[in-house]
Amino acid sequence: MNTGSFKIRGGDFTRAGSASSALKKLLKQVNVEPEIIRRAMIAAYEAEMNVVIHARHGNMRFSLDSDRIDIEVSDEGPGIPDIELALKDGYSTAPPRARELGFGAGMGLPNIKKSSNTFTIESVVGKGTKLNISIHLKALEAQGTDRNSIRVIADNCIECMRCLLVCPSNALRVRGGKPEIMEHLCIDCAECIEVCKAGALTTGMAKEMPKPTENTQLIVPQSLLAGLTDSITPELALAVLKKMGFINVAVVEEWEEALRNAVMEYAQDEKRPKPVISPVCPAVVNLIETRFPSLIPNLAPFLSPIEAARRDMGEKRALFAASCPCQCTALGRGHLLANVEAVDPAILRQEIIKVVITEGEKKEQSSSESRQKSAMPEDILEIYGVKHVIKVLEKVENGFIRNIKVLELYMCDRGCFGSPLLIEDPFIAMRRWKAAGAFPHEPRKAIPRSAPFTARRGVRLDADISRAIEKLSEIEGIMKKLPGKDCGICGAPFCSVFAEDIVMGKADISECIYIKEKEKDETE
Amino acid sequence: MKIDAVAEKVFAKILTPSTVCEKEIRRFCAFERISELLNGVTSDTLLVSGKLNPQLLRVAELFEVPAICILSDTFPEPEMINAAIENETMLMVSSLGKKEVCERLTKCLGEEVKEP
Repeated sequence: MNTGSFKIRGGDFTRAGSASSALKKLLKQVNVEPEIIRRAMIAAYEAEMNVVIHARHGNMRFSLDSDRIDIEVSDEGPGIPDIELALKDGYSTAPPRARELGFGAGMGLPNIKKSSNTFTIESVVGKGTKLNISIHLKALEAQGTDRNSIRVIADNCIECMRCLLVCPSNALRVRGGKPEIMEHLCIDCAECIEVCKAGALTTGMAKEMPKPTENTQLIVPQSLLAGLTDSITPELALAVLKKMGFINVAVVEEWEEALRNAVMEYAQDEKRPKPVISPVCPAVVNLIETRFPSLIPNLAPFLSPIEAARRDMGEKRALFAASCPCQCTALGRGHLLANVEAVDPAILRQEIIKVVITEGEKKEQSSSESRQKSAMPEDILEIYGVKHVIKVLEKVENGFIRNIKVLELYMCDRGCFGSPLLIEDPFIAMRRWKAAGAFPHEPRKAIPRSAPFTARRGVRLDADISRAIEKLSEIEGIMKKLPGKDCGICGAPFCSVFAEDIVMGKADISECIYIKEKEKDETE
Repeated sequence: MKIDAVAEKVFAKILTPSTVCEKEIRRFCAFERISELLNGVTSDTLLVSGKLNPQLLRVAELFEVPAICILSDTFPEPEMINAAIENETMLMVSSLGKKEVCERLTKCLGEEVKEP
């Protein structure tokens, strides 16, 4: 990985653009494709000019690896009071001096967004603004996306089609003998990984134990500590991890509790749309942004626990055992990845077991203090599992859930205890965790989001509405020809999805085995 | 079309003879706003502008724009010319205004580009 940083001086229109220029030289040196350089330059230059025009000074940091370039542009400036407005085409607050030079078209942030694969913006009025831009260097096949940490190992696919049937957002296809993930639809849950017994779908997390260093923080989910055996208790697992050489070991639950308290407080305001939905599970947030955009106002505007933990780590080196793909994605979102690594929790689980077997089981003494876990407030309703979450969200959308203050929704069964990356049964692990009581830890705070939740574009048939309507009619026409058996042999989960793929030019009607047979019969 | 041939078509004087190259100009872009230019310019675009400023040169450098045509005999400062030479961006100044230059360029290069 190649990293670097450049200083940006506010108000200096003569030298402005020199950071982008230096970045471009580097990209050319490493033979990045011209079209990628072009996109990186649009994003970097617009971001740099924002600092020059609006701020006192700033920094451009970048990190380049074989898959992507991440650019972070931060400044000390006035901040943006209304980010949503600032992202609108044509909105500008550029002063006359900048306008004289051709700036102030109100296209800066929209241009950055258009040129990047992911773009986040955080801003605090009176303090400054931070933009994070990621651009992929390669085609996305088998690479995953920034919204997605699910990886395809095509050679392992046995075309069992199980993944097609469980994907809650119809984001999977199996064509040409390998799974394809539709980036704009995938919500990064772990349903497909859970059913893929052939190992064709996995996560992008490290599969080998990174070497602990004295400076590395380790953050683990409670489901890992409770997901071992009855004899390897959460206390013992934590003690083993602490002895591995990390400077500190923290548990994600610490940030979960802080978030729960903050969401409860937020929900006390009568004006908030009810029920307030906690952003505790990033996959649920993705689901809402994709399938239930009308419920975005119900989401409490805080970072998820894993994002808050990541933020608290700041510039320190940190190793995260993420419970699932969406947590892994959330770790990378809005940050340069240089000081953070995600490891598959199953690897840490093996390491703990290895140490315990080698050193023998030693009972960890419980602290003499009372370690009762805080009880779940009555105003919160917890819902676990994809099917239940979708049903509840449909009910909320239709106005059938009114007397519940806060919803905590988890895509996996029993929350992160049900992650398919962990082996233990979620009910047993959860019981073990409850029995272990609370561990002493530093006080944590929920972190408010500075970037709003936004609806995902999802499937757009066409940018031109009249053409989109035509396409809709085409889909209906194709649907009439298809057998409606939803057999999945064509590689799409349902005939309706297949029809849409045909209209979008991603599939051909001849891939339907029934149509093919019919045509054959007619010819004969 | 070669850069010097394009210059002839728009009655432009070349200010940086050392930067004349064999590159082909295939399109032109005459937006006034920098953000619009970013979406329009490529390494075969002639950038057309009423006046030259350091940021226009920066855009040319970042997007490898081979030449900039300045309009209405608006001659740039010597520092700008030096900076253009350093960038290897060819500068030309046309005696014509924007409308006429664009019409002439449309005849030889086709419609002005909105996006690459």
